[in-house]
Amino acid sequence: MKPGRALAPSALAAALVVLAACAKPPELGDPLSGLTREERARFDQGRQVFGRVFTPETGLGPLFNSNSCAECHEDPVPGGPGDEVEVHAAAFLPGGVCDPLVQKGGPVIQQEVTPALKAALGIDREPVPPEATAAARRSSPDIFGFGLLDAVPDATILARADPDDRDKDGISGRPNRFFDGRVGRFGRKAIVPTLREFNDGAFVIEQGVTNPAVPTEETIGGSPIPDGVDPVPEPEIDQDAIDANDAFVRFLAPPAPLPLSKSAKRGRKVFSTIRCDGCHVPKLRTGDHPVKALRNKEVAAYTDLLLHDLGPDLADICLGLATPSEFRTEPLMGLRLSEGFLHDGRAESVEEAIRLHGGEAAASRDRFNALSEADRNALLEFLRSL
Amino acid sequence: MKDCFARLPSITTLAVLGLVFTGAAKGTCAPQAPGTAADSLTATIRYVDADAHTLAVLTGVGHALRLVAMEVEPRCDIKVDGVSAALRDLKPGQIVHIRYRKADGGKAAQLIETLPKGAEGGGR
Repeated sequence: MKPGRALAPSALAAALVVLAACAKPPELGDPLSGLTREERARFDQGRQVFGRVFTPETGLGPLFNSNSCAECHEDPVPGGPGDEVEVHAAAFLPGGVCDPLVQKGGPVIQQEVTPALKAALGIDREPVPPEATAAARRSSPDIFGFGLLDAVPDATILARADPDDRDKDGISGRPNRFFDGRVGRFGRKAIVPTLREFNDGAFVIEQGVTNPAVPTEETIGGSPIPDGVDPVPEPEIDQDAIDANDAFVRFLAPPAPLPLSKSAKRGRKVFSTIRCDGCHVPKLRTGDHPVKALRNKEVAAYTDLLLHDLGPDLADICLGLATPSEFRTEPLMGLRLSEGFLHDGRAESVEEAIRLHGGEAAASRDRFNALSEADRNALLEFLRSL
Repeated sequence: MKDCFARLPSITTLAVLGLVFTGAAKGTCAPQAPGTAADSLTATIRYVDADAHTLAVLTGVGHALRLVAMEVEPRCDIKVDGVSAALRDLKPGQIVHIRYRKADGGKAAQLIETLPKGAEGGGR
């Protein structure tokens, strides 16, 4: 045998290894690597549903916040953040009971109405219930990598909870739970247990599009929709389209972090030194999952999916177990895509957002404030790489 | 609360069909009427009116939350922490598993059991 022939298989294997290592990471809006052909087809089909613009004649409203998923999750590609801000309301009652004011149209207070509803009731938006103890603004986040967050086992979330701060680090953290007791993880108050439910519910609360999972419209401040205002029969979108949309959201790849400069690498260390990673946990691992591309994967989400008290200055509504000042740790993956920061977009820069942290995050904020200018800039550079 | 129950029919009409069904519960003191299939749901109690034999629970899908009101049958089997109890022993905020039958356009609870609160985590 000639030496060249003996080398051929190993050279080929080496070339494949190099190719795999050099494979380009998914770009923004791309699907996860490793989907089957069928999964990829569902992703492509779902992108069409995600971008579908609804009209009153195709199910929009009569109350809604937007006429398409992609109207809010849009920049720079479908799935990215948007500049829309919506309104939620709830009542935090004596004894710590949270009333999401469902019987008064809450907790999501829609900001748009169809022409037919305006003609019938003369309103431009759903009113905030007078019983509300607070109204909250909610910005539109990017949803890249949410399928991976969905695949993180509950046990992983619970393992990081420390409601009584037994380790005395000043950071407690506890899970929110949906109204049937399941662990929540989606939404700024972590009330929603699964991505599927988040998506199905969003069609109704954001677009007024009923579907097989949620076949009833929202009320208008608790009152039923006037006759003739919503002539489209329920459900207004079918299961196949809902499933495809879910596949699109579920399979969206997380944004690949930018290459780190020397300064950004230093910033990554500072991130840990001042204990930002106490809540913004750099990596979570998914568990077993029927989709191989979601199974046993690391996701650099920079969240623990737990509720933390951020102090009275940021407090707004309660939801489920979450008190007004408790918020889920915001995932930082894709942070560089945002223009407004914190749950309501009130901060115009990452630095301002950090300075507005309070409560359990106060110590990290104070350590940030005490950093040298070089370390502070390094940290911000690192965050802008996510 | 009175305001809520004054609108019972409309609230019931709004009750979401895509609830979180969790399968049949064990046993019930109320016999199953022929042709009336029992359903079940797990949700959080919002209101209890022991005098009117009604309650309302919170459930939903994602952020699309729904208040589901129902009557409580006189012979409804009620258990709090596994012990037989009365309707007035149920409190807002408790998570309950309810088995109910559809009756007269509404729902009638046949079995209500409180569920333990989920763990908050064991510390790091």
